Amino acid sequence: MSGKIDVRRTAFFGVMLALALVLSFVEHHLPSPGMPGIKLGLANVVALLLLYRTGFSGALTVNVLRIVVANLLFGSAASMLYGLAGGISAVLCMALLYRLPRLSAVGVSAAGGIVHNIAQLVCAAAVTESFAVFAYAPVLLISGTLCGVITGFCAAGTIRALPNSRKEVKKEK
Amino acid sequence: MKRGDLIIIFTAILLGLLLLLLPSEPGESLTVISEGGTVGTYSLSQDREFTVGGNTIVISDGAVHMKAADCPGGDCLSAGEISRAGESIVCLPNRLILRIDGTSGDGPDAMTGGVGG
Repeated sequence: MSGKIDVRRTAFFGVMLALALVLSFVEHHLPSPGMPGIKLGLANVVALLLLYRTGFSGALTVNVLRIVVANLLFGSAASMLYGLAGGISAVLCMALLYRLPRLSAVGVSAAGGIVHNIAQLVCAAAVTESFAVFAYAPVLLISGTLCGVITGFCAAGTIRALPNSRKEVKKEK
Repeated sequence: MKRGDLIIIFTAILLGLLLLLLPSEPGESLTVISEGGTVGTYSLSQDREFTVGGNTIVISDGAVHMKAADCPGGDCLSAGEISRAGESIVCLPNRLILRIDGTSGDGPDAMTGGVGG
């Protein structure tokens, strides 16, 4: 492996990052429901897809890159901070859950949505040095669950529709 | 969808609804917190309009809303009015928090207050 680049793998993750960025861009232009923190999390579909098809490290890497690039393009330093806190926590949580036999992508995604919002609240509490932001917790808990379910169904459909590329993407050894 | 999914979804939504439906008392005063420090406390019974940093705050008819803000997102402007104890408006870019406080720790609330004697 030393010094040798797996072209297929590189191309695959490049396409996935591009797809995630497009979804971030689309979401950026969706109307806001009027409360900070409520958003669909469309790019989570890509994170879930990668988690199920390539495993934890690919999902985390693409998600972190997606958040950094998306916020450089059409966000701010502050929104990058919140995005990273939510995005990394959500992928970590989903990675812990996705192998459980009793959970499908929908439940895993819902849990990811919840953890995403809680992480952003903790982050907001740290920035404002106050617990007042936790007044939003009930609403964000519900919205995180519902949005997670929606993106979970999208991801479940995508995972089912795409041929299992895992063998092709991972090094065949 | 598997059973575990439903357990996660319903637990989270039930918990959220429960927290939402917790009884809240009517607000008494507005506390303004900027950069982690309290700027001041204002009674809700007196209408006023004032500015903290780049934010213009309005107290009107016992409710508080953000009238203007120089932050890029404007989330605090769309947050609407708050009037119940524990409610808050947060402007993250300007590190500003408006929080409604109730009467601290005394007995009858507004609903029972008129009945006793």
